[in-house]
Amino acid sequence: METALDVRNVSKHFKNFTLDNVSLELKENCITGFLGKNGAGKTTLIKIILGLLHKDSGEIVFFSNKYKNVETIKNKIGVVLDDGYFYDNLNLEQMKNVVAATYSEWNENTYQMYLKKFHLNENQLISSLSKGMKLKYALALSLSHNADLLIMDEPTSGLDSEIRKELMDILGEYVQSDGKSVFFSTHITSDLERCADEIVIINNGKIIEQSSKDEMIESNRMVKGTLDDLKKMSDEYIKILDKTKYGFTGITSDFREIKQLLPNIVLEKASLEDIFLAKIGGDRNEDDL
Amino acid sequence: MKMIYNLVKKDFLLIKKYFLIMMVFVILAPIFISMRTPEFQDNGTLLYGMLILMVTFMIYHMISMEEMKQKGFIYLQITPMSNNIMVVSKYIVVTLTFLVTTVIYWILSMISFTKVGVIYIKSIMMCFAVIELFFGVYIPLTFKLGYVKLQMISAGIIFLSPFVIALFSKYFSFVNNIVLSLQSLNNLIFIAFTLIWVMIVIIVGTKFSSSILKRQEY
Repeated sequence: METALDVRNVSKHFKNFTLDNVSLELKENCITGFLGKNGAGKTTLIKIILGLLHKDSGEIVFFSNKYKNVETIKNKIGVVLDDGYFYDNLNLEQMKNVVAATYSEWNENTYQMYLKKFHLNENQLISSLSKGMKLKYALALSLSHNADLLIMDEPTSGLDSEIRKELMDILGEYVQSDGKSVFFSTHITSDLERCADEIVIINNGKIIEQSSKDEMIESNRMVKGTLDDLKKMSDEYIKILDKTKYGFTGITSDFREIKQLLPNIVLEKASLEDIFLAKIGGDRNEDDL
Repeated sequence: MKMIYNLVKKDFLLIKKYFLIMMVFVILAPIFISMRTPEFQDNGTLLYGMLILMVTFMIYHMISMEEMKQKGFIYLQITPMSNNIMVVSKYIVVTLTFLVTTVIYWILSMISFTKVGVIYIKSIMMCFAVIELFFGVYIPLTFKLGYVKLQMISAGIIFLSPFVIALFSKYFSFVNNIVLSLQSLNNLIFIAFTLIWVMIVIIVGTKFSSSILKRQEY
């Protein structure tokens, strides 16, 4: 499997935030979820990848250096940004004309097919589009120039579950084609649980973990027990999510050792949400479910 | 060419709500001023020059303001479009505004009841050279400083202009001599000289602007 994007030791310093020596790798025909809470550095890294911010150090390699110049690389990347970044005074057709002229492989039929699929009217002003419709429009633009890598920054935040599911289905369909990949940042784990193949977790500007979603879920368990059980376990075994006077809930990757130590303890399959919270050391947040 | 055409069209579409007002201004302002100021009726060069500067400046400012408000420029940065093309499109917008204003003024000057003073080819070319020089500096500054900072600096320059003019007044005769010697040239040579000058200004301005954009962060 070829590498679509290789980020090597990228750093960027701001006054109040540092993206610290970040490395990650995106495989072809995969949806890679980029998971982190708000302010963790997801947008900063995506902006660096897209050239909207300049890195202080490190290296970014697209498509294993298959393409030599920046224009060709940009032709092969489709982008959906959180804010849209469109000219709101223009209608969909006028904005499309500006964008389409820049891509060498623009496919008008594909674009029209997506407009129809998303029920978008070309004569509608961009300023009159809802957030969901803006996402669909951005998606139509990014999927109409034969891009091999789709980079999306928080595309699902603020969207209802129906549109989110629709997006996941489109992404799933997209990566079925040969050589297509998706890099998708979010703080909503349920979206990734549904569609991601790989998960990269970022926290405070550092990559905490990159692994396949299934491996991440399989190698962790949710542990539930009493406070007495907790006392018998080493702190290294478990990351606590909840602790009350009656008991505790935590996440562990050493579940076999724990089972040996405490045969009666409850071990359950962990959700991505719980694993993510345990990794970043946060509390459960109902909004993010 | 298709990219530039769409960029230029996009710039004018961004300010289409001001279009009618601008057209009314371009038509009525010279007529009104010429009727009120008989000095402009014999020779329209000064009035034409002021009108050109005002209109190109206003149009460019409106576009810059919309660019700042709408952030679509950031989307263009992620497309394969080169910075050179984005910058050149701005010079084309200025040049088109200059051409349209010039044609309207010329038509007005041909209609006798408007009292609008006539202009000659050398005045037009001279204004063209000055306008392109002005925007040769102003466009890179917009990319460097952004619309808001540039607005503040422009206001400061307007405020300081009486003092600056007084300071440089001793050089005016020198500039005047150059202008007079240029005007003594044959029309065709003068036009060729102006066009070469404009090309140089646009090339240098584009180079500067592109290098500024390359370093810019969003």
